Amino acid sequence: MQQKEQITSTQIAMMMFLCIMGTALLMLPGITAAISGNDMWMTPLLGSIAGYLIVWCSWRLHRMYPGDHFIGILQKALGPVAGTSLGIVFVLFHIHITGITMRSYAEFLAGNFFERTPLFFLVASMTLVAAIAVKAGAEAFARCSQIFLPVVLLLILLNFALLLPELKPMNLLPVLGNGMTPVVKGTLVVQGWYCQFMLISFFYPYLHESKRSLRVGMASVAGVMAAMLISNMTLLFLFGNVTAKFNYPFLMASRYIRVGDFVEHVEAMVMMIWVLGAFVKITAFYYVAAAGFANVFRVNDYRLFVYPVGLVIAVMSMWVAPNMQELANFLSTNGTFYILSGYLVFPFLVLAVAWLRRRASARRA
Amino acid sequence: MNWTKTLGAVLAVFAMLGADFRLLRRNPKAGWAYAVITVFGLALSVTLIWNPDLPGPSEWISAVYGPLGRWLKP
Repeated sequence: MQQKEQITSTQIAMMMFLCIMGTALLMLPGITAAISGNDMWMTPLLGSIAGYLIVWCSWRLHRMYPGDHFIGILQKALGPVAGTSLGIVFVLFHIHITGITMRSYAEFLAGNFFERTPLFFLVASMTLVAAIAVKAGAEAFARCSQIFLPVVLLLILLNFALLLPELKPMNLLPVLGNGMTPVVKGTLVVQGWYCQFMLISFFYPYLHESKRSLRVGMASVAGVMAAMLISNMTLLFLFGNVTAKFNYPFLMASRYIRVGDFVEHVEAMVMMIWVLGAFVKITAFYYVAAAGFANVFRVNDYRLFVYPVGLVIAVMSMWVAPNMQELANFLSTNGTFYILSGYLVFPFLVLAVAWLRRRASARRA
Repeated sequence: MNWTKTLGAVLAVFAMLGADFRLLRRNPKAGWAYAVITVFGLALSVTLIWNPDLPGPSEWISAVYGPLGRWLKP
């Protein structure tokens, strides 16, 4: 672990924000609209509970074992044998999720903009760019996200501001027309995104102002919640119940924009948001996979594993699903529970074990 | 076509080894871990080039989480 590298608390908050929002902005509204109908605007609010919980859990683990990220904590809390084997399982699970992220990135571009480009070319080019960023270190790509975030936020807000004249707030009604069940189901899917805040555990060791470590995580969750709420509300006000019919409602919304006779075809802005957000997300996930492998194999320098892990991620992304429909279907049903058990339930179990062991040893002493 | 793709995968691995040559020489003990991941990645890519419809991890997961997932269907 290179302790020389340092990340500021703002950079962590911005990076985690882009990590979650990068793909959530385009993929989530369609899924939640299909499940929760016109109560979809509630799902980010309820779902954020998982985000706050998992940030608190990662922070507790970080306080118990400062200087270690999640795989190191596993090895210390569960012992070398159980810790390492569960660490391998976790890293493989994480690589699967990274492959899914990579595939959704490529499918969006191939399906909407690069219609004649082979999918694997998009995957390979993104893997190469992300590999270079990961090799440069966590500090480098945390700074990247600091540069990207204002651009992304500006483009998102611009998109929504241009849509303002078209919005019909009455689409909100009836509130809870079908009871709570659809909202709860949609919330679970949204939590599948929020629980990825667990990865903050891998960046806490780089943070040098440890006093603010909990606050930055919480602030980032709150930011994601606000952004998701705004985007869900806008899309609902614009499309109403039709939102569920689109794979990418936000892209459709941007096609609606027409101001005067010269501001149109702003889909390019959506592509920019997507590429920048997905880059940060893929890079952070990639880094976690490489650092996780390095820790599992007890190698000090994760940089050695960057290219091999990239190879596995690129191949995995071709393996996760035969096409976009299958992928979206997986993410909105079985995948949700899969992601939740890996990123939400598992860290809490680790926290419980670590806490019990610590109490037991304190009583013995 | 498949042979070209296989050749491409092998060439990519060689390019990777070339890029990491100096890092590997500095950490000779990490070489086996490097080899494990690389061989896994190469084997998986060659398998998928020849057999693209191989059931993937998502299918295995669906077999486990199927009953829960069906409840979530809109």
